[in-house]
Amino acid sequence: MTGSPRVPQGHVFKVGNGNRDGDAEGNGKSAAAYLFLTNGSRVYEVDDAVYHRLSQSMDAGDEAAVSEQIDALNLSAPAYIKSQAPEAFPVRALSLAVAQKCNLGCTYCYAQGGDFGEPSRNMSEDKAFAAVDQLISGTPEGERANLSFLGGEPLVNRKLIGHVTRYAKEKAQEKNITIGFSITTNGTLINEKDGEFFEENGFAVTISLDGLGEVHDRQRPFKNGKGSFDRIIARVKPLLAMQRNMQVSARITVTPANLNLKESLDGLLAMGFHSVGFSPMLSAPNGREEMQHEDLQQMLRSMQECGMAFIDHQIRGERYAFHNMVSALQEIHKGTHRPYPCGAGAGYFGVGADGDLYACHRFVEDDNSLMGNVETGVDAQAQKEWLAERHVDKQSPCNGCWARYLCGGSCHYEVIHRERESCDFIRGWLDFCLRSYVILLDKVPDYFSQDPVQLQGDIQGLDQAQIKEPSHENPQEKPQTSIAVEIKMV
Amino acid sequence: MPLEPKNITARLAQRKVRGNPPSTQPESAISNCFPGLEFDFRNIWKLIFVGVELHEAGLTGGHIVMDVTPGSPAELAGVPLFSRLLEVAGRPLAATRTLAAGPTQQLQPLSLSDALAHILTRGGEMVECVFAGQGPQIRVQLEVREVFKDGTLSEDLAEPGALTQGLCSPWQADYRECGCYYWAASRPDFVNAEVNNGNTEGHSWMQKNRSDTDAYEQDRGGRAGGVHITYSDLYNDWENQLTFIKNGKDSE
Repeated sequence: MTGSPRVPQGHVFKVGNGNRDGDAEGNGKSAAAYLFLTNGSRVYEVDDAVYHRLSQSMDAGDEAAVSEQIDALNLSAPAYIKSQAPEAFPVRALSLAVAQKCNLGCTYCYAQGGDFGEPSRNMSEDKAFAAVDQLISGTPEGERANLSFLGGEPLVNRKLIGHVTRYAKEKAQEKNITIGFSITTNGTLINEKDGEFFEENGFAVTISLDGLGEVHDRQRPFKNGKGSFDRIIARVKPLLAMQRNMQVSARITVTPANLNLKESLDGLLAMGFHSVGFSPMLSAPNGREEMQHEDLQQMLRSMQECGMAFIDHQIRGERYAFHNMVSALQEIHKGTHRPYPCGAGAGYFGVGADGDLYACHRFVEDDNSLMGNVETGVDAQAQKEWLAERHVDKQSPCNGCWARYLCGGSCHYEVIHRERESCDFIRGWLDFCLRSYVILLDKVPDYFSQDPVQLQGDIQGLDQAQIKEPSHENPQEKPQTSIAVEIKMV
Repeated sequence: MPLEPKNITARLAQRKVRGNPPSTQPESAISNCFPGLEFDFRNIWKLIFVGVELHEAGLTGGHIVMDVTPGSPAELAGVPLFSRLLEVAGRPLAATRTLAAGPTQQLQPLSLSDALAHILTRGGEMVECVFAGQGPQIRVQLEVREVFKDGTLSEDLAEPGALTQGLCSPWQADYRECGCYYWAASRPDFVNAEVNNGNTEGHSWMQKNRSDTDAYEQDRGGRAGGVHITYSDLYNDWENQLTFIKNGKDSE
């Protein structure tokens, strides 16, 4: 759809009855033309003449001509994203690998069966409390922080989750900090008492499900090979009925074996999940189930199918919580622009069972991204180097891509472990979402009813761009809210 | 079809003044800006010279040095804190007053917008500045900052938010303090006016009793109680003391 990056300054597209080129007979006359400017993620409707000139220059890769035309439209602006990386960033979100062990044997697991290739173990209470202390001491009074419980399977260490939640609430209250909690679980151990606890503490609960029935079972069996779907659904159902203060969402890891996304989305929404999101499997420690270029193209088509259903539902005024779409539309509406794909190594860290801090939960036990520990805090030098190195303007081919400030340069873990395999997929998805955005803005303007002035604080560059306010979403999403991440998180 | 901004960043960029609310734009201001409700234009001049921070107003006549950057030419020349800037590029920052009777020798500080207009286009150049020191006057060459950068106010001169620092507090002392009848647009100072036998009768905007039978009472300042609304009345009870004025008349 939008294969090559073409030019780094922006992207043009048409929506409506007509194609990009239109024709002299007036076909395509009803199509509206749009310009997306990378600098500031600004979206403009433009006239046909402007569209055609820009489109030609972009196709020819003529960056100088594109700049001239942007100038002529009086749309040039100082750089919204500073090329100078920040040197430090306060910790605002932590995830605790409370149990580096798991009862499932998922084919592609980044934690290699839950233990990250190390002896399996639980996090101790001392380490978990020290992590909370770090989080609270780094968060200014009156602001927000987020604590996630991950694993392995975190509910293996249920007792610790209870103790840490209570401790964190107390500590947060002392400093008037609003603390959000979240957990990502395989759902096989969850029970109604857990549900009551999550409900009481407003948890964002994410259940990892890879589809319906056998589709799920093929990828996420128990270690003994038995399917896990039926047991998970039996255990999760009471929580779905219970959710008021908590939100129970489903997260689907997409591999070449479960590409029928629409079926999974509709099936899980019908069960009562608060929202359903997809992430492609791009990098597994064992290389299994990784998506190849063709698979990603198929996934993109599948995502678009879900996206169109989303638009239809909105037009009819019906809820349809396709998470990737909801989040992408909000970001495009706000004009989110960021130099990093997520908060990893900036305001967000993954804490291993031994209390070491890693750039995120996926890097746990990876010594190359060790960034301190819960006793001494973040290693300032390591963080400074990470922020300098990971800035999207320093990445190639990102610095030549129009989507770089929406995408942020793609998941650090995947880029480091497998290069950038998904750029066409991400651009294709963003192009689709941009088109959907202008359609929705036209057909269902109330969908974007937030006041621009109130949102202004969110878009003034780096500080807010990197870390969004924690809300009732998946734990990973709190520090990691870019569109690219939304569709790539595992 | 004109260019139409769709999303929020595009819409905000259209306002041209990134970081400041729309009310800070001159075209949306309803009245003056000195200090004003929408923005305080004096803050433009605070950082016009590299190495010193100025404050326009002050009991000693204003144009006061609030800060000197360590190692700057101003510091090396010995410009003291709280000294006054007297002259820039050969022109004084004060002028003699002229009263109805004719010119006087009395010096009146000029607003910096008037006094520094001649260096507005000299961004990047060095100009001679004269400061009143504790001893003899201090002369030093200081660099003038660019006022505009990329078509908008330079952030070196005024960071986002700088123009809205130090605004009027309309519901407090400033409501009756303002010397330039700032509120004229929304708050006429002569209300309930009626023409009667060739005379105009009405009430002062600060007068407490304003029924048909109450005569006009000249405002005598806000401290004494009784006839006029006081500062204290405004601090404690502005909601009840002030009424809406519609078509020049009090409304309930």
